[in-house]
Amino acid sequence: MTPIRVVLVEDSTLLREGLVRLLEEVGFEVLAAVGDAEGLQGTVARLHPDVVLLDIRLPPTHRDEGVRAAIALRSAAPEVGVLLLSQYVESTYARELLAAGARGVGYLLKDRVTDLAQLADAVERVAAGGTVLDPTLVQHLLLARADPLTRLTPREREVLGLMAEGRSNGAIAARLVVGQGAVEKHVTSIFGKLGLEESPEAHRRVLAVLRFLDA
Amino acid sequence: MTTATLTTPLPPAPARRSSLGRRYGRMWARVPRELGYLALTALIGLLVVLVAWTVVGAGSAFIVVGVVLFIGLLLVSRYLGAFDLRQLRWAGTKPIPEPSWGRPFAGKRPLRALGDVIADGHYWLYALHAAVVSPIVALLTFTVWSSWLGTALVAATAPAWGTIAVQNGAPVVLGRGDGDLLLANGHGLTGVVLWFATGHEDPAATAWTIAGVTALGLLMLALLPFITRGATLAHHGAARLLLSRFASEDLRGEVARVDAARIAAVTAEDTALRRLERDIHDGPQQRLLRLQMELSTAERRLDGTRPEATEAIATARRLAAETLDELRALAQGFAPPLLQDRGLSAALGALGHRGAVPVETAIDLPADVPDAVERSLYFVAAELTANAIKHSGASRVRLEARTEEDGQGRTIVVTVHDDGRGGARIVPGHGLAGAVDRLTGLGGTLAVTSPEGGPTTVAVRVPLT
Repeated sequence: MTPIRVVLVEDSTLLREGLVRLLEEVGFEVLAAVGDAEGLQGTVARLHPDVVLLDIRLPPTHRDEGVRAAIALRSAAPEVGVLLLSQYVESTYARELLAAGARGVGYLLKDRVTDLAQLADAVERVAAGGTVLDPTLVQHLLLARADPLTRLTPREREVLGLMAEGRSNGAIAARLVVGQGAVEKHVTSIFGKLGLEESPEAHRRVLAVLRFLDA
Repeated sequence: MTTATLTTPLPPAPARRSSLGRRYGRMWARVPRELGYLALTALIGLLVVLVAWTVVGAGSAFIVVGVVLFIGLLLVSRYLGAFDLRQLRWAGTKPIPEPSWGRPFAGKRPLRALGDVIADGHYWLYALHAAVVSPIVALLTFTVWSSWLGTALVAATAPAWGTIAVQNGAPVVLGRGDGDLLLANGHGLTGVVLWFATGHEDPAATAWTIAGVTALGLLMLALLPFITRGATLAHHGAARLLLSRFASEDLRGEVARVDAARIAAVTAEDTALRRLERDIHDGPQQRLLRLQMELSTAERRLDGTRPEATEAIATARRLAAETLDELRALAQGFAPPLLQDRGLSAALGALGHRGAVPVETAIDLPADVPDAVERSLYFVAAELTANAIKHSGASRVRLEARTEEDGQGRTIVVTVHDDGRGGARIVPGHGLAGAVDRLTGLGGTLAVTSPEGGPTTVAVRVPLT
């Protein structure tokens, strides 16, 4: 199996070096590690990475350059996974990123990727087309959300939260220590309560997560 | 007698004498300018009276013409007054502060400018000064100083002129030579002086009478600085009454300065906090992240061979992670990232997605809101929405932000409306009072409308200067 090929955009040398080392230790191939998002689309077109890891605050203004670059990249090269890394999780940025296409995107606190296993897991899931959202963000949104999500049972909300983090039914079952059948029942019930009965399963999952983020 | 008085030495008090002498010398130094000022003012007064009253008289025949001419008089008076103040300063009097007025027509529509001129009390006072008071004062002072000076000069130089004679019962000074040129007649002040000097009788043009007249003339010359000073001060008094700036204008200036200082303080605080957030973000936060990476690498390298070391490293990682969380919470508390990165509109919009109760938002703000105002408004709005969600039991909260424009400038208006139980009060030390304090620093206000049973509306207004 060919290694996952990544491009890293991070302006802090300290973190860039650390992340490159971790990524290589996991066995990913780091095609490029740069300090800003200038010419990122050109780099991506040239190197064809599987995943681009992007810091949010980047030169020149150190505001939300990473989010803009990610959204631009989504429309320019939708097949390339994008994983946003930041010191903060902002639900506004998460919504914008997901609105540009929920397949193969992720938004994580940088804290999550200081650990080899977590970093590997996140990059692999994004590379495989999954959606990875930071648990803090998910929890935050869960707390904040009301109708129609209020109709969900606590267990269903927990399941929906894990779906939003981008986990499969199997992974959710393992996490909650229940059978996969039970998880499937919850998921069907969630779709029902959110009025998402008419679409294919994968699409409904994305819609449910979006509803969850947007409600 | 007169000569004796003049030659009597002053009391032997050298210090006092020299200081008196110096003061007297200084008075003389001012005399040319005072005279220049007085002569010019008398001339202007005469002209203004002639022109102004003729014009006003002719103009009043037609109301429209009269109004236009009168406004003209107001405008001209302003510059005459300003000129008078400058001349007074030039003549050596204490400067009188001018009103703080700009050029009347600069950057304004003509009608508006005219309205402003008519509404400004200073123009009326200046007109009163130029057309009435100054000419009257000038007439009085002119009479005094010109006859004083004339008499003094003629009398002091009497030996050069020749004879003093009586013509038609009044003493006159006649020039030397064939034509008996009349140099000064005996009416008014000059007459009185000559009358005394000649001993009320037919002056025989004796050497004595000439000497007496000369001495008197010299005395009058010696006293001239007091006359010109007095006359100038009379003008100065009139000008101080009518032409000077009002005390309220100084207060207004003071208020503007205090305002500027307050805004500067709030702005400086904002700048410092933003920089602090950036510094925490770029420094300690990055290092703590890298530290966690290193610790996790160390943990992995040990690979369970030294359980106690692995445990210590795990603890160290946890501590680093907690420190990072605390730093993040701290920075977020004074510099929310979305506000830093995207500004007030985005940050307020995001408040709608935060709480357990849906918050409807309608944000319409310009892009040029000063950073300090953005910060304060954000925190006030966050506090108000959080209050509405937590305490009111509302099922719906609406957050609106927009600008209002009036003659004074733009105002940002933020309102938070909820359909909860109402009864909200501003209690010292609590959330709303904190919001009020924050707004006071920006010259803003907060108004609560919250009857028992609701609904509650809190309106925040902050002027944009």
